[in-house]
Amino acid sequence: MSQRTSPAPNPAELLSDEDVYEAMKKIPGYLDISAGDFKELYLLAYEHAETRLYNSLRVTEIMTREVITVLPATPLAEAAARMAKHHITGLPVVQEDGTVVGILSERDFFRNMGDGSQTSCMALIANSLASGGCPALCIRGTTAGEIMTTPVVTVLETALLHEAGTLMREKGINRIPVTDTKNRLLGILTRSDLMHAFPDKGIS
Amino acid sequence: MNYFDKMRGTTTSPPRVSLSEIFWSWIGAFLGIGAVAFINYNLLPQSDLLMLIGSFGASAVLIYGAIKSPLAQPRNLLGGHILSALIGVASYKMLAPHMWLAAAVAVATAIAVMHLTKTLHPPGGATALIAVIGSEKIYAMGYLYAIVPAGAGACIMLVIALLVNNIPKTRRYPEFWW
Repeated sequence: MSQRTSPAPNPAELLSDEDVYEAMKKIPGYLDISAGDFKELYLLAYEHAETRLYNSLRVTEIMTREVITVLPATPLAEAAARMAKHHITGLPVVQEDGTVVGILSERDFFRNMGDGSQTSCMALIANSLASGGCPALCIRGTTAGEIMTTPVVTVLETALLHEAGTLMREKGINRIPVTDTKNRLLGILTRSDLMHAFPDKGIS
Repeated sequence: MNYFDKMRGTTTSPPRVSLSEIFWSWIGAFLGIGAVAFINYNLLPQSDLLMLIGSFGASAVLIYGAIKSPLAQPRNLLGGHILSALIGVASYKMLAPHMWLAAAVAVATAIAVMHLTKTLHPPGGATALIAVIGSEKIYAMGYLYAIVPAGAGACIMLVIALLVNNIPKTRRYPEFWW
């Protein structure tokens, strides 16, 4: 879901000196460290853990397993309704056997509506208001398979999070379907999944 | 942060420890210093040896009063005293006519060597300095000073620390050996 707002703050940054002071009181004995040093240490350790996990966890650890999908033959009206209902901006197009054949995203709709020049919702509204027509009409009878983006960038279930993150950044995409070796869909990893799990990794 | 801003400090001092912690610190220090002082005053007065040096008072603060501190661990206690003692004696032997220089070199080098060997123990600085300031008895011992009193005294205090610091449920010593 790419509609979520800014990434969650790093929990370590929420720590105040008072929190550390109160925690120190719970540990019997003299702790030879100041609250400030402890905080600094904690922040650095947290960052280290984040990097370690980002570089070692597989995509299957944080991907969404219950994926909303459409078939290539699904009419766009139905596909759009499904995306709206689940508050998502894109979904994989899969065949009956679960094989991923494409991705259908807002961008694919924009590209095929009106004069095809819009790249955002506002551009579409502007276009529509100016022309006085409904730019969606021209894709009314179209199916998901006809406007989806294909071939599609996918990763195997064995891929590491940082590999998927790099792919998304390089290809400028917001979601990557995760598949088995037969290209069957197992889950989906979105840019915001990564952003929320690893707010400091510069994924956004 | 600007140079003068740094002088204002950035955080609060740590909390006061519990009364039980204070009690056990007192017991440890009493027994630890008691042991080396007893040997020094009651068993060794006729010999050329010493068992008590001023820096042990500082070690007692750490190994009985701040037992979680990395500075208070066995590696630091023993390494810090023995290495600093050697450096102190060497500084005195090499630079003795210039006492101010011998004192400065002894302490500064002791800190550097303790850092290098991961044995930083603040009382070690005093152990090095005492080798230069002396008493005549300490000068006469030469490098033996590193073994008795520095090494042996630290060992005795360490044994007491192991015995006393592990009695209360809330205390555990050491954090690490090496």
